[in-house]
Amino acid sequence: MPIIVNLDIILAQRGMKSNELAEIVGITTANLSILKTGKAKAIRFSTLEAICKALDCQPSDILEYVED
Amino acid sequence: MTKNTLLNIAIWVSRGLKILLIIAAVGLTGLFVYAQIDKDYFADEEIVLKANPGYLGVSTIVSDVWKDDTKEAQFDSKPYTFGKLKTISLYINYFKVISVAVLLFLILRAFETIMLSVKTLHTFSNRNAKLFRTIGIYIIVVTILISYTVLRFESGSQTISHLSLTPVIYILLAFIMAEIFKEGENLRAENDLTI
Repeated sequence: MPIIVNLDIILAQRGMKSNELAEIVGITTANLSILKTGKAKAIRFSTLEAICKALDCQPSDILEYVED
Repeated sequence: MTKNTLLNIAIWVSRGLKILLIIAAVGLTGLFVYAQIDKDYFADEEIVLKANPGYLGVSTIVSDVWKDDTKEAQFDSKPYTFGKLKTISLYINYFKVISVAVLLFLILRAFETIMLSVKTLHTFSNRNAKLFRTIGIYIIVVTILISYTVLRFESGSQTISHLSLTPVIYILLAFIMAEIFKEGENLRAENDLTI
């Protein structure tokens, strides 16, 4: 998929662990893992909003378009 | 979905039909074996094939009687009795009926599995799509098996051929349901992978 999820990088920059983010956002660690590994088919605006709020970043910091 | 009455009734009806099929198959096998042991018991029983075209169907029966040159009487007055049925014809038709019973049993079992998965809220899965496709294939085989029957006797034969649109509708329904369930599985997977 040409959409890359850079959640790992932002998490490392913020010094936050995956399970902490999952708890703040209100999703399971399994679902966060799906998102991080790029296996997710879609992301809800509400989830994206919660992630951006928790990590104090923009959607473009998390999602990146790379041509195949 | 444990309180769905219609679903529960359908599951119980399917189980009942499965038991009836087993009883019928065992009974038929018993009769088949008995007919081998005591050949005279059913010897005078006349076998008459009956056409049953149903809706949107055509049935044709062809009965032949041929001359027996070794006997004085040229034509047999009772050519279609069980005693005069050729052994190979008896065996072929017995195995045909048993195969149909086994296939009907498998169709019922597959349908029951699907209904149980609906009950446990695992409706849209690849397994159910595959089961519907399998049901479609089983119906095709059953239709082929029951569409043509030949009974060969010592001095005659009876052939019944049966063509009907009803099984074609069932086959199409089974394959359409398989596609619907496949699409349902795709939607479910997409929903599961939406974070």
